[in-house]
Amino acid sequence: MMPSLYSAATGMEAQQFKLDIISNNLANVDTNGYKRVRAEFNDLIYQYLKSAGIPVAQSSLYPTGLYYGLGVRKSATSRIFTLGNLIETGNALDLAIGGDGFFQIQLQDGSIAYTRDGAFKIDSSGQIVTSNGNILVPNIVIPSNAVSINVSQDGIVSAELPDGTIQNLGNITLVKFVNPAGLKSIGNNLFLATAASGDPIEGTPNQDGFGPIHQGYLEKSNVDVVKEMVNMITAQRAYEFNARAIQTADDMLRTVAGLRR
Amino acid sequence: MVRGIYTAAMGMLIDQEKLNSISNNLANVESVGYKKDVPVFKTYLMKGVYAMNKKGMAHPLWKVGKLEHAIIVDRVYFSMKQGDMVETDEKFDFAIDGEGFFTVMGKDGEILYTRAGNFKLDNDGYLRTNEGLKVLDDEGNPILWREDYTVDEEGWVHDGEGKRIFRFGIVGFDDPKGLEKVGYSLFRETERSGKPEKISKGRMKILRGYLESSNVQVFKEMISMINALRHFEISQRVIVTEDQLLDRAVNSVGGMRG
Repeated sequence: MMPSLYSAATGMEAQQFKLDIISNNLANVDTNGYKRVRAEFNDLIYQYLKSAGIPVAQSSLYPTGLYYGLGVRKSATSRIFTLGNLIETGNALDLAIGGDGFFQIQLQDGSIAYTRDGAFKIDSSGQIVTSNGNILVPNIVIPSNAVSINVSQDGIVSAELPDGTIQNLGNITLVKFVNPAGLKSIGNNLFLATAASGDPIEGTPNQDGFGPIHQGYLEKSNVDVVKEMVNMITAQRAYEFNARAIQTADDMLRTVAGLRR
Repeated sequence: MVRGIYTAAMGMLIDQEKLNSISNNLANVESVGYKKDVPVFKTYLMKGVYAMNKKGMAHPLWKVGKLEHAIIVDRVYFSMKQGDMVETDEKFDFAIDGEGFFTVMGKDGEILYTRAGNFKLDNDGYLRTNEGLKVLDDEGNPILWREDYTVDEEGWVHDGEGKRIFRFGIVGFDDPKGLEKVGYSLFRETERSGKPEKISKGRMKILRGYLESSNVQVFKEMISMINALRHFEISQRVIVTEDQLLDRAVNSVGGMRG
C-alpha cells in the first residue's frame, strides 16, 4: 500500500538482528578467546519512478531522479579478530597467543578445528586437550611423573622430571588464514576453515608473523562492554524510530479512510 | 471550489512521498556510507491572477497576485554530506575523509562507486565488498592484498619496505549528487554526474580502521515525519471542508425548496 510501511519494517528487522548479535557478544564477554561479531547493513535497491504519470511543468535537471528506496538489508556479520586482553592465571597449561594464529584441535570425527582459547588440560593418558576433551594438534603427551611443564614463546614444550632432567616433548605449531573473518564458527570457541577463509598456513609461534605463545596467560574475549552497550542503545532507538515510521504511515492511511464518512 | 480538493489531494500525495524517503532514511541509519534521500518539491501550474476590467475581462496590467494550483515532487536527490567517521580498528575498514568514492567492479564488469569501505579479503587475497565485488586500484585492476601492505593518507599502498605499489582507485565527480543510487551502497555514473576524475591532493584523506557512518540525522527525520503527518491530516480536513461546502452548494443553495 505505502512503500514506507515496508521499508520501515526492513529497518526494524535489521535493528532486531543487530540486537541479536550484540546479545551474543555480551553473553560471551567472559569467554576465553571469543572474538566479537559485527553486523553490517546496506541499502536495498531503489525504485525509479521516471516521469511516468507525473506531471512535470518544466524540464528538470534530473530526468530520472525521482525514486524511493526500499529499505535496508543485512550485508554481513563479520568477526573482528583483534587481540583480547591477556590475563595472567599462573596455570602451566593456560596458553595465550600474543598476536596472529590459531591452535589446531582434533575433533571427535578426526577433522581439524581452530581455536584461540588456550585453556588446555591434561587427559587421563597425558595428552594436552581442550576443556571439551578435544586433542591439541600436534599431539603432545606429558609424562605422568613430570614435576613442571614449560612452554616457550616459540612453542617448544618441555617437562622437568623428578630427577631434574629436562625432557623435550614436542612443538606446538600455529596456523593462520588469509581471511580469518571467513572462518566458520561452530561454537565451543572452535572455528572451521571454509572456502572463504582459505587453507590454513602452518608456522612456528613468534616467527613469520605468528604471535608468541605466553604460558600462564589466557586471552579473554575482545568484547568491549561499553561499546556493546552503546550499540545496544542506538539499536533500540533506531528500532523505535522505524516503528514510528510505520505508525505514521498507518496514521496516514487512517486519515485517508476518514475522507469519506 | 473543486480546485481546492485537487490541490489538497496533491499535497497529501507529497506527504506520502516524503514519508517514503524518511522511512528509507530511518531504515538505513546504520548502513555504512549511506547517503540520505531528500525529496524536492515544486509548485505546479502557477498562474497569474488579474483584476477584471469593465467588460469583465482580465486586464493584463492589473495583476493581483499569483495562484498556485498544486505542488508536486520534482526530484529526489541524496545529500553528499559526510557521515561521522567511526573508529573500528578493523584492518580492512577504510573511510574517505573528504571527497571521492572507492571504485569497484560490478557483477557484469560495470564500474561502480561506493563510500562504504567495509571491505573483506577473499581466500585468494583480493579485496572485496560485502557483495563480493572486487575493489579496484587507480588503474582499474583488482586489489590483491599482501599481509605487509600499509596505506598512507593519500591512498597509496606501500609494501613492507615502504615502496609504493599502487594507489586505491578513488575518484570524484563534477556533480556527485548526479550519480544514480543502485542500492547496496553503490552508485552509478550518469550524464549529469560527469566522468570520474582523479582527486587533487589535499581534498581527501584515506583513514584505515575507520568507517563512514550513515549521514541520516534521526532528529531531522523525526521532525520531517511529524510535519508530513500533520500536513497530511490538515489537507484531509481541507478536502472534507470543501466537500461540505459543495454539499451546501448542491443541496441547500441550489435546492428548489421554499
